[in-house]
Amino acid sequence: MGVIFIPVGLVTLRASHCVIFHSMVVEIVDRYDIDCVPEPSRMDKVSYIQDDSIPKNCSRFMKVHKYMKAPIYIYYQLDNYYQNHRRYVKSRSDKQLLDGQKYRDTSSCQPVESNNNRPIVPCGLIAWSLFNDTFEFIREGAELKVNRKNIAWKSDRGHKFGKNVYPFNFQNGTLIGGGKLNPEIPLSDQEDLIVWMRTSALPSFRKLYGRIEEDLDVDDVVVVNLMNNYNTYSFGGKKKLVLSTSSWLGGKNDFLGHACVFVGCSSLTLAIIFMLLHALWRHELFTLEQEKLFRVIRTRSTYI
Amino acid sequence: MQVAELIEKDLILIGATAIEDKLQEGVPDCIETLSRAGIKIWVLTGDKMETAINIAYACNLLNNEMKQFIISSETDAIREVEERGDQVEIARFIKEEVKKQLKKCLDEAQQYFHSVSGPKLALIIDGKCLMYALDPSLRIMLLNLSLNCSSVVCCRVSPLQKAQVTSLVKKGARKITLSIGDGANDVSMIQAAHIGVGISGLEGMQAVMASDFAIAQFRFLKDLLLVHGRWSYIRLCKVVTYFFYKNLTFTLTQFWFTFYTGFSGQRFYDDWFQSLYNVIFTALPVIIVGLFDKDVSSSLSKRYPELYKEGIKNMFFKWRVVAIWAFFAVYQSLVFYYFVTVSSSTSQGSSGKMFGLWDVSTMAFTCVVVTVNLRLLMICNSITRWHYISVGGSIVAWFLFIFLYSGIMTPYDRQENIFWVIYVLMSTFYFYITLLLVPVAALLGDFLYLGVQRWFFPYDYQIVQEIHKDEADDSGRTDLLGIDNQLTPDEARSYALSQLPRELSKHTGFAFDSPGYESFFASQLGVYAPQKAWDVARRASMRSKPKPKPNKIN
Repeated sequence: MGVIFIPVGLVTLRASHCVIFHSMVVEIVDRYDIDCVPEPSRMDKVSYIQDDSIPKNCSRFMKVHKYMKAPIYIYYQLDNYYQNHRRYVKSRSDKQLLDGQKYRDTSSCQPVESNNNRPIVPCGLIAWSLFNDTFEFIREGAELKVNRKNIAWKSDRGHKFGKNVYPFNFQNGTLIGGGKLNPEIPLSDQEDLIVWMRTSALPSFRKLYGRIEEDLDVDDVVVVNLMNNYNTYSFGGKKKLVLSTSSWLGGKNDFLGHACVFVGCSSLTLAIIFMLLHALWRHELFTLEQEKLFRVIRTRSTYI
Repeated sequence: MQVAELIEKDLILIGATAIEDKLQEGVPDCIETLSRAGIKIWVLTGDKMETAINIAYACNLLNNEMKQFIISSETDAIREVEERGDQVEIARFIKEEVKKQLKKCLDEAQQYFHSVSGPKLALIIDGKCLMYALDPSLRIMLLNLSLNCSSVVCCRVSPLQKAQVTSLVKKGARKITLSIGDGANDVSMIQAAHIGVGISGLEGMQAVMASDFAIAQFRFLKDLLLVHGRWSYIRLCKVVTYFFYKNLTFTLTQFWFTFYTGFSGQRFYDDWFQSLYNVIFTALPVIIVGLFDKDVSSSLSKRYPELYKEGIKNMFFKWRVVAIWAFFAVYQSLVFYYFVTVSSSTSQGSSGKMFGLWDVSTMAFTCVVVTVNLRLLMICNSITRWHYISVGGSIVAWFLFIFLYSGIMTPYDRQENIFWVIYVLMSTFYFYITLLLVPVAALLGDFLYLGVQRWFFPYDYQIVQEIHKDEADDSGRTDLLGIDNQLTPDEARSYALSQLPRELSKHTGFAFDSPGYESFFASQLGVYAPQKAWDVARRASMRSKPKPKPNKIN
């Protein structure tokens, strides 16, 4: 019987929490990969994106529908992008990220291991496919400052990417997979790379780009000047820009709230039902006297 | 014969000797309890027919209400043919006789069988007839007839025939057979059966050396089967089905992931998690359950021998039971996978940073370990402190492991996937809420099912549990062993009563001794004898020989 009361207690706990974080987080999502390709090139987006001579500027307008309190997080969201593919996840060398060129056993990075007989630092497909769209935000003519520091997990910055390791021979081959890296900055400060290399679990994911430290009011229109560099057109991927606030429980995710409420309600219902059953309708089988019970058990098990 | 008559004339009778071959104490009670448990009991003895029948009456195997079929080779017709001396003729004639009698008995038995409330049937057959009845042509008839009878007594049986009869039932009827015997002549029978039990003591140790189980007295068979055998069955079923369930849950959670990786075969969990799951994180609790689980106490198991029928019907390991476990494993794996991945699609915690693959999988794995261990507590019938220690210990072991594993970077790891993952996870509120939410959501289905099953469709042992739930749990040391030499007051009374002769029957069982008759005869003479027939018999047998030490059956 005690087991029944556990869900009851849990329910009340959860119900209170669920209500709180439901409404506070605001999120704006904007898909830009189709619209940022100019009309004449829409038939052949792949060659458009691969053509380096065409400037890839694009302007988008995002309307704020609810007051957003700083800090506002900027994410880029990619859909149909399998960062969790086995060959992709394997294709990195964590030792090389820490030790640089001194570490020679980078066979796991094939085919992006070396170029012209010189090692590539950082090697592997994950680094090679670095996301390189950039975003600038302007509100009422004034530029919104985007803080691009401290967007990666501290443990990654401090312990997984070396402070003395610099990019070398990176993105020099014939096939360009993504962004280029500044060879003057050590890997532990290349936060875009660090964020990108934390491979995500699902084919549809978002990664942190930066933070806006100002509040956004209702009906503000934010002009986004972005460089549409990254090629997701070859495989039918989608690119979206997301502006989101955050609460103590994280971004806007209705699922946890709904799940809480659902599980809470069902536990409560179950608890009530079993309590009623137990109190009101004591099963007659369980109150039989011993002699009668002997007979019941015998008749139940007579036929083998 | 004539010479003996010439010699033995004008002799003075000095005295008479008699040899006592007592039934062991507790045998009739044990046999009655076992037959209430749904076990059919056959007697195979080398004694002659009258002796065997007497013993059977004393044991409650035969009574006057039963319809007895007697196939004997001591009939006049057969004796006539034997006197003629022609071996071939004798063999042929006896075979014919046996065949006729078998057929007659079988036809009669069919009649009784079709009427539902007919008397119980008993078959008594002697060794010579058995020799011909075990012939391939007559074997089927013998088997059919004997399986319809509730008791079978075979007398004048040689050791080889004992083994042959046992094999007949084992292979022909496809039932589980157990042979119990105490002498060297029982060895072949003990080895022929599925389970051989030897009684150590008076007749030496040959039976014990050939057997699978050795007990000291016949009545301990009741404990062996009803208490330990039944518990063993329940424990085994629980352990096996739980093992499949926990591995199924664990693996299916990964399985759903493959749909989202483009079927590339990327593993959801880290290698070390997978290897150690069955070794450290979920191993000990199931061992504890397999050792200590008791659905009802030993005294209740003996009081309700009908509980044994659940084992005979294989109620706890049918396909239906396994399918239900599998269904809940699928449901739980879906809960684990989707709750964790969908809720990780946005950032967790106020820093705005996103989780990667290994964070999500560590979260899912934590939920799996916690839920699977809690599920074990839900299926236990009796919970000791070892259960709590092992379940809590497994979960703590998981956390200790992951703290260690994600805190250290060794030169042997080629890929530092799990570095710092758990500390990152535990710095968010999301971790704690999910750890609370997901196991409850996953176990909700099981809880509902168990509640409904226990309330509306209870098993027999659950009914017994409910009746006796208010009684104190007698888990003293003697009870853990499951052997006690004390009779409950009810049992003692019914036993003493059963010793009094029944006027209706010409078979009282007193032609050969049974324990406790001394008090009856003593009271006949007007001598006061104590009521407890039990004590008398024990004291009597203690006077003549030392009591054998009971073996611990565990």
